[in-house]
Amino acid sequence: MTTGEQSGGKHSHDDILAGEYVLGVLPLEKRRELERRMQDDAAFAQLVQRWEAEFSDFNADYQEQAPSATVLARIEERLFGGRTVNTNGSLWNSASFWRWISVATSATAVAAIVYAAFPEKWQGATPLVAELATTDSQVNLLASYDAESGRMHIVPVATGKTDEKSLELWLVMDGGKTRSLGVFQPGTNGDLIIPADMRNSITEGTTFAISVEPFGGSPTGQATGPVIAVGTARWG
Amino acid sequence: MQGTEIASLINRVGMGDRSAFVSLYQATSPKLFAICLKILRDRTEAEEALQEIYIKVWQRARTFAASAGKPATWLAAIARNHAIDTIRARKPITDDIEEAYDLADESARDPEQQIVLADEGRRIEACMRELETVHAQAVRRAYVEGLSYLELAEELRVPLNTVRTWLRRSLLKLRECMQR
Repeated sequence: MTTGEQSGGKHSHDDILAGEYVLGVLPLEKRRELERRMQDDAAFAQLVQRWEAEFSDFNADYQEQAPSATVLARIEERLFGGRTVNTNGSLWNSASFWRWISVATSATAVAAIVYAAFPEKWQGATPLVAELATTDSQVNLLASYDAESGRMHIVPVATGKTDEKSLELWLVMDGGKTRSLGVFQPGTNGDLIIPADMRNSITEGTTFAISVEPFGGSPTGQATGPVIAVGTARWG
Repeated sequence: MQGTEIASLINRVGMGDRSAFVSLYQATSPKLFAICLKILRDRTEAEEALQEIYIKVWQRARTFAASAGKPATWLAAIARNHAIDTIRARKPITDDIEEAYDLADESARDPEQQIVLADEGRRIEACMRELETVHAQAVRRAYVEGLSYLELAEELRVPLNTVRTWLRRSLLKLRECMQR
């Protein structure tokens, strides 16, 4: 890959630059420039991460000190305020019996849609939908819901290095505990049948999350991998 | 608190769990506040910085595991970067850093090789001992106190170019040492 003097020299130069960034000695404009570069240049971002990991031993020099008790209150006020967390208006409100949605997420993209409605709730033509916002993970989701069978289908089309990973759907309960709703099996059509005893737990305001887990699902029963999507159900 | 517990809290924060956020704050804010205090040297500014840092933590928690780092390192990097940005913005410095890097190129490696080596790390303290004492001090103070090249030059009473060369050569030597 990197043959020739040019690439070696450039690499070494980049490594020093990454080290200077992590030490913190650079001026603000240069820091901004390098942060922009990290967005697009994974190799450079990796050099930065490596220095961060290596220099992290120095963090022992920072002697713990408690901040004023008011700081947390101010943070919570700013983050949560008096507002309730809300999502955008419904994107899909059709009562079509069977619906496929294909969402490709990339860089800063948002939005994988999961239909989580249940047959008895469908009569008013108001499907329960959850918008699962993803981060910048490169994951494509193909989601559908069959009201008749109570089946939710999500076909993860993993891109890149998720080959040996599984996507697991979680129900996030009050207090933040999670319960697994199942693991999406690769190589199938993405069926995920919500266990019957879990169906009553799914209602308006229910928070869903999808995480990337070791192949076969989380070994601990709690989400261990990166959460690639999270969203709250509402009547669509 | 164990690293794995912190990691689990961050993952729960990534799912929008407010109680996990409070637990995470309680477990980690003394350390992050220490970082802010050391770099900003002002309690009020440090507390303001701490607010911004935990807002970033809330916003970025979902991306945590993707970065595959240790939770303490991830949190400290957010805190240090914010504190350093704040102090750089407060004290703009005209520091021409675009000069040539006149350093021997002895450590060129393939990126693939670098990734493997990254896991072997953890020898920074041993490698620091191979540097000249004054250079090692410069590296450590730059990191811990968030000093700019100019401030380092003033503190150590050496010309700006000298301190810059010290640090760059030290980085190169550290890299060589850690890849040995």
